[in-house]
Amino acid sequence: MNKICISCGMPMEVPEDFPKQDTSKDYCCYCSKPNGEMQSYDERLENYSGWLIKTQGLTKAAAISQSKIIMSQLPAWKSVTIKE
Amino acid sequence: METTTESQRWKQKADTRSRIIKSALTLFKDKGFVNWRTQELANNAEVSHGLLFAHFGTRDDLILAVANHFLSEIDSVTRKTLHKSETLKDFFQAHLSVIAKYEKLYTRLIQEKHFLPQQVQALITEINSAVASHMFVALKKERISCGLKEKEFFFIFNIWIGLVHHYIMNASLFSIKGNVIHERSEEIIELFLKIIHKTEG
Repeated sequence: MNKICISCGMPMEVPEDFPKQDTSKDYCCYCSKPNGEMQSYDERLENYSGWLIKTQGLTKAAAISQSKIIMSQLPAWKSVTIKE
Repeated sequence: METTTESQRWKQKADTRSRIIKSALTLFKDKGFVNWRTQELANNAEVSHGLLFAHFGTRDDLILAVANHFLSEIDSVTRKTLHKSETLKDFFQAHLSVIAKYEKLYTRLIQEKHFLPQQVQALITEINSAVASHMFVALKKERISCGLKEKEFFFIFNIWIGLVHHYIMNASLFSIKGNVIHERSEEIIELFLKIIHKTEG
């Protein structure tokens, strides 16, 4: 069952880590929409930067910049051209 | 037969990568993440200079892989304390146990952070957020808020990580043997918990 989320890099170790506990998915519950589909790049960027702000109090600009760098290394977003 | 050869090739590749990372961990502990030579690492790992780049692509990729090797352990070890339903004290102990395990490397990483590739700097930010998330779960479990709203919990994490990094950056002032986290983690945790519980009233 152990997988790494292709969208955010989170280790997925228990069924609760998967969208709707569907362990066949390659992305985690935090990277999915309510219907179980994977979030888009912009949705993920918004959520990821929001997470950095919530957990460390970063400025929005810093959080977005850091998120873009992190996401650029993940399988789901490697080929995405970053919008400035 | 082909499958066996293929799996042997995979194993050999994984072993070589692991040997390079292991050598890099030792080299970076002594020389830091900035001032080292790829040829020196290749010699220490007993691989050719070309093979080093066949595995890691660029020097920056290698630095990132080494940093990820031990920083991800901080995430996984603190995450495990949550699965086991442990306390805030257990969380702090778990966090400092991994830092103590890699103390010299971690110190180098924090000291040299601003000279490292942006991917490594972002990785440090990411791991800190992961650790903060785990800390928030432990705080909520023990119903501790320090008088803060949930959206202000980041400040508790920032005080904690700032405190730990202050000891690390000034280790010569606080430690006898140089491994300040190893030497003083119990005291740091005990005093920090006292402050936290005091603010709870």
